Amino acid sequence: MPKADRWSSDEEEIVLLSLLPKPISHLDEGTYGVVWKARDNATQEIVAIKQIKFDSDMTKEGFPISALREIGVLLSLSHESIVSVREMVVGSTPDKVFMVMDCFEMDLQAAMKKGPGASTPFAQSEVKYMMRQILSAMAHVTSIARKYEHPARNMTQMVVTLWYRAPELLFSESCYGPEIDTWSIGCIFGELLIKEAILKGTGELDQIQKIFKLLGTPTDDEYWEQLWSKQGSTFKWKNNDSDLARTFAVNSFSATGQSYLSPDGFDLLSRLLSLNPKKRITAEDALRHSYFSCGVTEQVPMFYV
Amino acid sequence: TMSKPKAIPLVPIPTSCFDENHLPSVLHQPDPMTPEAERQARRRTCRFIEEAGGQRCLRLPRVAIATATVFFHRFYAKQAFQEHDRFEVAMACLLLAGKTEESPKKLDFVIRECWKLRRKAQQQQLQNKLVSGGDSPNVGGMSPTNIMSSPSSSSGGDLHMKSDEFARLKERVLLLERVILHTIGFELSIDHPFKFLIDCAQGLSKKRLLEYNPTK
Repeated sequence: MPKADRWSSDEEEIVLLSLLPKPISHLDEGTYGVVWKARDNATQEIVAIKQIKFDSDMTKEGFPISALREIGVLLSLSHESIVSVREMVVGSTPDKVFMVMDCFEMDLQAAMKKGPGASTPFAQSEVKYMMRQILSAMAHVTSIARKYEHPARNMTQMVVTLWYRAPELLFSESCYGPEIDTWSIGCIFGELLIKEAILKGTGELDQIQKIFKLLGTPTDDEYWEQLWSKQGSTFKWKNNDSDLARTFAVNSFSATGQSYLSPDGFDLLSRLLSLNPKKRITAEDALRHSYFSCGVTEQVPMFYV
Repeated sequence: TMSKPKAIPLVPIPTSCFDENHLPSVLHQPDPMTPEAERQARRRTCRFIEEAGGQRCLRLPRVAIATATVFFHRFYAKQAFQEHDRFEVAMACLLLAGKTEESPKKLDFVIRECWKLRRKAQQQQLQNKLVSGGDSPNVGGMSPTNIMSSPSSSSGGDLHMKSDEFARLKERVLLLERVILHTIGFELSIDHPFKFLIDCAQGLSKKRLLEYNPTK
């Protein structure tokens, strides 16, 4: 608790420098308003500050629950690969609440499209480096989340951006676990390889179709049979075989516009993108996968420096 | 035979923040409270939070009530009872804890239920006073307005959603929610000791050293 004093800062302590460029993403920006680049006058450090958006919520139900969730989680997490919230700053009027965070020049999306070497695929060593960071951050979050687990927590509202949403969520499975996050990481893995989102659905139904087209329809899968019969679904999905091996070529060279992918890498990708969440690899196991222990060693991506 | 209990490492609590002689309410000028009065105000508000969050009012989960209580204690470690009405703070703590523990309750509902509960308590108090001859001591050295700032509409057991009192309370609770967040430094993930106890109890009952009897 003594650290509470640190939180109350005067508005003058933070000087807004410029608006950070909006991410070039199509992702829902939902919860937040603008992000500023700013200087902390106490330390002279450059930071990013994120203004929490209050729409009509503020007058109806008070501080938005979505913002409370993110603040609570980010403040209690501490991991080298997770952006840290340094402090919360409250401005002169009630609608001015900011999260002060580490400032990064660009997000992964921008790095892929605009960073140095943007026109060529990432080297395999770079992809490996980024995948380890993402997976170890996720393993950390999962281990913390397990500690706070609420067994009957059903959040049926939209939880993940459509393109990265696990198939079981698209079938409104309300009882899900950390597997939905490893699915998303699988999507990111694929995206790092081709510098393009791999499952760009235009709606929930289209998203499902794109997933089944890439990975095949789970026709004789225990999990999906159970889920579908539980939901009393009579809808028949077109039978597809998996297209994954054709989409992500193993051992091919970068002329194809894809990063080099070792057989180990392909194996990890298909385990992350397992349609059956019960069989999907966990972040912790993924870190122990031979993809990381064999083959090329990791290398800090060019855009980091 | 009892097996030796395992030692649980103790995390030292910084004494400065709950030193009863240096609490904001005790140091408050020009209207200081005695440490005893401060303790009493805390006790009473905790009981209020407990009851308001419980099955007969807001039906919050156990852990949300505990979290609201922690928010409340931390709030008055930095703020004075003389500055912020403890009932309004209690309401805002319940509202906030409902959200942070993933069981949000509607603001209107929180206000209505808390108001009803408080009103019932006030009537009870009034009755006790009449029975005992009216000479009950001034509770906790608080200014009388703080204890008996009775809701304006005196008849009926419900607070009208369109009344001025309701609008005023709503505004206060929304403001206090932000003041609380600021005061507790947005520290929203609260670890409760109950988890330890539950683990202990489960361990003991597995070894049949403890029996679970839900009827008691």
